[in-house]
Amino acid sequence: MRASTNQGPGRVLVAIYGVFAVSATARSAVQLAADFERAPVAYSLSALAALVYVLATFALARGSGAARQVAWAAVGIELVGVLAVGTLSILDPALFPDETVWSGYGAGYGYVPLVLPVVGLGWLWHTRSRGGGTAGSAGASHRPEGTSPPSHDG
Amino acid sequence: MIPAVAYAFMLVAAVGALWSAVLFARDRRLNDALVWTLAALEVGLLLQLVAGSVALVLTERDVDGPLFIGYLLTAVLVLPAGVAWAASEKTRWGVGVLFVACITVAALADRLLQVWQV
Repeated sequence: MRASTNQGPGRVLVAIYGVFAVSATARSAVQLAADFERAPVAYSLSALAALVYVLATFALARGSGAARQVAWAAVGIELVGVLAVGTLSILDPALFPDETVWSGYGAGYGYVPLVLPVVGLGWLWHTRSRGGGTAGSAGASHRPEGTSPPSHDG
Repeated sequence: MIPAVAYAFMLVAAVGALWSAVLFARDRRLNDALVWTLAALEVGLLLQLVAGSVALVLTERDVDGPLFIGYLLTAVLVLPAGVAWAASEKTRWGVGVLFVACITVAALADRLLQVWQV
């Protein structure tokens, strides 16, 4: 039995991902429409961040089967992205004449972009497949179960 | 954008967030009174969308139009999406979603004011 990623605390996680999906997509759209040449690196990374947040939101909200693997990938890329962009934006600010969600490890968003992927990975780990496990709320117990592929952690 | 109106939105959204936090702490689900309060806030946000769009056309300020309209539209969508997502959760985490939605509305109201006052 596996717990769904969209129940209990997962509800709130999906909601926060949704907010970031919308804001990152909107920011990226405005940047790409305005003047891509001004900051190609920053704007490309903004678009990547938007894609990752949208994928993570839908995958975590779906929460079963293949969606779980998409969620692992999206949240993993998100963590790598925020760490890499955060470090780069401090080492070489010239690369980033304009902000991305991940600049300065997400300082412009109260460091939520840094905390979110860590919590996301922890949540995916917590709700992972385990034989006869009891993870998840009672409300999730009547949810129809799909086939359970072997765990793919790490 | 009138600052007092933006502050009023932030205040009501803050009340909604605090209310959600209290329900969460007491292990409760969302109740009718909270939903009606958020519905009233939503009506205000819809009026803001109309008034803000008109104001954008009429103003001589150098406001970033697409950005401003984007924030106005997003502000209208947050609460319906949040309530729908919260209502189908059977545990206390449903009001946790409303907490996030209310904080988001307050943040959007703040950003709208900033964008308008460039």
